[in-house]
This record gives sequence, structure tokens and C-alpha cells, in this order.
Amino acid sequence: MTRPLNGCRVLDLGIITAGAATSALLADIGADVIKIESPTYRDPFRKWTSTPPPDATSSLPPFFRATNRNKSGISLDLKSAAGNEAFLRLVERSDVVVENFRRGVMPRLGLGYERLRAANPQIILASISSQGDTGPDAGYVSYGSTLEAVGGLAWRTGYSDDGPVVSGRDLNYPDQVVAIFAAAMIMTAWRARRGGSGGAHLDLSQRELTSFLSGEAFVAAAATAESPRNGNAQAPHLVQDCFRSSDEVWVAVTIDGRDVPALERVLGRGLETDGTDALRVALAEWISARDSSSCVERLSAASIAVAPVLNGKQVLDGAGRGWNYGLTRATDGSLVKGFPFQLEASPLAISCDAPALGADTAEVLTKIGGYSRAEVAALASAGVIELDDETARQPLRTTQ
Amino acid sequence: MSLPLAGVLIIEANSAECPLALRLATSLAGRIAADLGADVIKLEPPEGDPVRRVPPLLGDIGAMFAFLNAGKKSVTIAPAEEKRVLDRLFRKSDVAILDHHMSVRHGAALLPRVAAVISMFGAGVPSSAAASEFTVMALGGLLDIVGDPDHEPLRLGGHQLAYSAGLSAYAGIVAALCQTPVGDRREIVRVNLLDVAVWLNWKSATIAAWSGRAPNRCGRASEWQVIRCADGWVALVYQDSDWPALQELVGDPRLGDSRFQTRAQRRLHARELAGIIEQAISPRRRDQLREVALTRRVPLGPIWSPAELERDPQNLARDFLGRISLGGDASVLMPRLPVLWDGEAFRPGRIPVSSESVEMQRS
Repeated sequence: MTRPLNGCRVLDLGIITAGAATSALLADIGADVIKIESPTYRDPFRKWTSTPPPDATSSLPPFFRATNRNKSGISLDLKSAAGNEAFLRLVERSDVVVENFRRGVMPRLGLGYERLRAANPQIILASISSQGDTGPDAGYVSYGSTLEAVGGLAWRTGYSDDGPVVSGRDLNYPDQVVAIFAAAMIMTAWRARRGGSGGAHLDLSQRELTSFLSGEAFVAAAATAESPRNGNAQAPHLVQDCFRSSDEVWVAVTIDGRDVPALERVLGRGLETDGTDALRVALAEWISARDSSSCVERLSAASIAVAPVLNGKQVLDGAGRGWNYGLTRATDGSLVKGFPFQLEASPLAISCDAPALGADTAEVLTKIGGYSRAEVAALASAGVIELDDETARQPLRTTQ
Repeated sequence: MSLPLAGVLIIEANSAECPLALRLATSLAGRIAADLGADVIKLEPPEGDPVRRVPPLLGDIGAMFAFLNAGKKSVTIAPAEEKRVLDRLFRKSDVAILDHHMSVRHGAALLPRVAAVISMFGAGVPSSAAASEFTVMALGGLLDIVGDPDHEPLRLGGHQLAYSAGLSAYAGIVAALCQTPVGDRREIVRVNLLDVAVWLNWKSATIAAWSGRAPNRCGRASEWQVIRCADGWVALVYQDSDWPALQELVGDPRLGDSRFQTRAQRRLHARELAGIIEQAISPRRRDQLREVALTRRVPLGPIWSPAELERDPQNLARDFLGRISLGGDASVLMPRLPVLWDGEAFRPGRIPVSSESVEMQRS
């Protein structure tokens, strides 16, 4: 089956979530993605401190495995002259480079956009950074939730009459969304290049994306003096909040004006909707007197938007009930990141697990880089590259 | 620069019964395409897209409508004309962006080569099930993980899930446009809010699968959280490797205490640690904290409001927020698409304050 990005080769210098997940999505859509680590630098997601559960099917840590499936992997020291040259040789034969290092790292490696373009005028360089490639804050160190703060999202997240709130370390929202947007912009550039527009440098700022996804707050900024934080309430909904049921489950409900007659029938009483808190109070009382499953059943039977508030474990247990591919299984059965959308005619799918360190170094350097097996062996013994254990054991020097 | 999607014709349309979240997702996907040069025609019923009336209002137009529809051409069609007009427009267009009900009503055979169909749920829940963006966030674990354990679960501000679905729809559309056309093969891009929520929240599910226990909201006991400073708030965010620089920045000897020397210990005493840092930085303003975070390379995030961000040095240097006309003398702040392409920005187009009637389209 042909996939949309068949024929697109991506050199993936992406690490942790933002960069690595961008390339993962390109791989899911059919790109040939080569993850590049180094003998002196690993993707921090390779580190995982907790003990694996007894039924673990893979020796790779879960976050790394989740974000790097569908890629091949090589280990190449970009700081060494020989490694740098090998990388540029791969650039000549590739379409896209993805990186999310701190600003300045690529130029210091001698691998700024101009250098990549000299090697391959058709190359698309996607630079994913927290604040953008330019400007006084380009060197500002930030992780996802820093960007919620400086991008305007934290300011509008929080309980009424209380301070701002960030999504925090376990969600780290800005690091997630950027992969969808960055992959989309890379595909836009790749399509345009086929139309003759040439290579491109895409300067993607996670902070700007975070602000963009709060775009209406900027449009409204000068015009409204409304309280920035309203808990879960949200126009145009009459009531929207989580209410505690008798079995101590939070039940999320959204009530619109048109739902009031149906809600009156369920609650068995008339409801005031003139801006007072009466409707909210009545609903809270009704939910607190019932268990969550009965609340959900009766409100949804009345076509009112309602759901129990689930945690990550309960979400997993609900696979197949309304979600099917947001998370998926690798070929070894372990849980990995899935897809934010699906294509009917050429479905996104997982075809291989995340690579062990240096798993494909020899093959990539010989088949794509044009190196002889003897040259690969010499690079390995000089410490410029790392080979996987099996390749390293083979007598590379003798086979030409 | 010639725009990358120049020459691509996109039709976006929503059904009357479409939940608000799907209108927002549809419109965001169209807005991105419009900024990139596609001709985007937004079809509206005679009374207009209900999003036009969602507050806050700027005169008689909602801020969200203005943001989501800049750069599009708006066309009004009467319900009786809808089928005929859509069939005709679909034949001429490259892409359709629709909610599930709209796509069912018109039938796959009549759709253009690429169609994005957006729904609340994927397979396993009837498409008639009532749901809102908020209740889908609950099912995707996005509420449970944000806020304070002593209070109700909390949504992120704005419409993050609907907009993430809109980003996904745009990504799917451009993926489909990358496919070399084979005969009259059609590509349907499926997007649903619940799968997007699960995708965004992958870490929580992965931790749960690995350890048997899902992370939950920790409020003041969170490793990363918001603390007060002299003129507002700042997000306390750091990784293990930032700890020495953070200690120096804060400059309070109590941080040298043995309870805070490893990540595990700091997590255990997170509430107390945040309290000490808050006390120590309380005389400092956000602009001072920005300065010192920048020089010492510590990922602290001063919390700015959107109004304040208009004058932010980084946004000014990158020309991120422009002003565009709302008709007459009125103008609004408008973020551009968050990418610089060979150093150049994509300028948002004009806001379709009013619609044209379909009569214009027939000619």
C-alpha cells in the first residue's frame, strides 16, 4: 500500500516529546524516518528510572518506545569531523531534517540551515524551539508548562477567583500539540517543494503555537474586562462543571439553554434559568444523591452531555468505546503512542518497534551514505558511530 | 513568496445539529489553510454560524468567530438550497471539511478528492450520543489531571481539545494532499475529539500501563506549579538538571536542606518547597524574574495576560501579533500562524464580518 509520505526521508534529531513525536507522526504517514543519536548524547527518554513491571515485553523504556516506533535508529557523533561529514552526506540524500535542540546547538555543530542547504538545496529544515529561532528570548530555557505561562494559556486556566494553573509535568500540553502542527507544516513544505518551491527553513515556536491556540483571547484582549478564570464554566453554555456523585466520582456535565426542558423532566422539577445559581445548585444536589453510573445513564438518555471524569488507567480500560487509535500497540504488544487522525484509504499503522541504540547505523551508512563496510568499521573503532551488538560482532573489515 | 496552498479550493460546512466543538475544529483547520494560501469558502446558514454570537462580542461579532475565520470567504445558503449548492461546490473543490452529520447527509460519493470528517467520538459510541468538548475531555483523562485534588477537576482555558482536533484535521488534509492522485480515489480524513484527547494524554496512560497507577492532579503538591510573585504569578517549572541554577536564582539557604537534594525528595516535599520559593521571590516582579531566568537559563515562566503580550519583547521582535480591521475604524489583535517560513510570516486575511449570498457563487 502506498502512503502519502512514501519517498520522503527524514533525519530525526528530535528528542523527548516535541521533536521526536513530530518525526513519529511523519513516519506513521509513510516517511522513512532515521532517528539520530550520538555516542555522547542519547535521547533523554532512553532514561527511565523505575523498575519495569513483570510482564514488560520490551527492554526499552516506555516513553522512548511510545515516541520512537516506526523509526530506524543510528548513532553518530555530530561533533566529530567525520561524523559531521557523514551527517551531511545523509542530508544530501534526504528531504527533511527535524531538530528541537536548544537554540545555537545546530550552528555550533556547523549544521545551521545555510550549511544544510549547501549540501542539499531541496532540504526542509524544521527547527522546533520553545520561543523561536530569533528574538531576545530565543535562548530562554523552557519546558511545556513554561510556555503555558508566557503564552497566555495559564492566565486563562484556573478556578474562579483564584490564581492561574498549568497543565503540569504529566500532561505538559504545549509539548504534545506542537508535534501535530510541526508535522503538518513539514508536509505543507514537502508538498510545496514537489510543486517546485525548493527547500525551506521552518522556524516553529512552541510559545507562538500555545498563544495561537488561545487566539480568541488575543482578539478579545482589548475589548473585554471579563474575569479571566471561570473554572469550568464557559460561554455559551448555561452550566458546565464537574459534580460529585454519591459514589464519590466526579461527573462532568454541560447544559445548554435548549437542554433545560429535558433537564427539568429528569430532575422532576421546574428550574430557574435567569442567571441565578439555582440550576447549578439543583443539578449538584441531584447528582450528589445518586451514583455516577445512574447519573450518566439518566442524563444521557435525556440527550444531555455528561461523562464520568476518568484517569489515565480508566481511559485505557475504555479502549474501543469511542476511541480506537489515539494509543495503540507496537508489534510486541506494548502500549505506544497512536495517531491524532486516521486516513481511510491509506491507514496510519505501526510497522516496527522503536530502535535499540545504533540498531541501523551500519545499514544506513552503507545504503544511504554510500560508505563501504570497511569505512563503517573504521568509524566505529574511532568512536564516531555506534553499531548494534550484532553488527559489531560481525567481521566487517573482511567483507567488502 | 508564493503561498504554499495557493490554488487549493476548500469548502467548510457544518450541520445545524453540530456540537459547538466540531464547529470550532472545522473552522480552525480552515483558518490554517487560509493563512497558507488556500481559497477557503465557509458556508453558513441564513442566520449565520452560531459561533458568530458566542461571547465575548466585539460589537456584533464574537471574538472566537473573528479568530477562527480570518482569511475566508463566507457564503450564506438557505436550507432548501444546501444540497444543490454543496454538490456543485464539491465538484469544483479539492477539499471539504465537515462534521460527521454533514458528511453522512451528503454521501461519500459526492465529496471532493479529500474530505476531513470531524466527530466527537470514534467507533464504539453511537454518533447520536450527546457530548460536549468538556465531557469528552473528561473521558480522555484531560480533566482529572489538571487542578487541585481538593477541588473539582479543571479544564484548560479556551478550547484546547477542539482546537487540537482542528490541527489534526489540517494535518490529515495536507497528508492526503501529499498523496499522488490515483484515478478517482478519494481520501477521507477521520478526526474525533476523544482519540485526539487520548493521543494528547498519552503519558498518563503510559504511566498507568507501566506502574498500574495513573498520575492525578496534585495542586500545591505538584512538581510544576504556579506561585505568586510581587506583581502576579510565575510558573515554577524545572527538570532535575536545572536544580542548581534554580537554587542560585532563588538564593534562599533553606533550599540547601537535605529534604530537597534529589528529585524524589523534592517531589515528596513539593508543597513545602514551593512555599519557600514563593516566599523568597515575593519581592520580585515578573519582568525581573524573566530577566534573571533568561541569564541563568532557568525555565521559570512569568504569567502574562494576552493583553500584556501585545507589548512582549519576544512577540514584538517576531511580529507575532498584528492588528487587523473589523470593519470601520475598529481593529483587533490577531496572532499570525505560528511558523516563520524562510524567515517570512503568513499574514492573516480579513475577517468575514458579513456573508455574501449564494447568488454570487452561481455566476
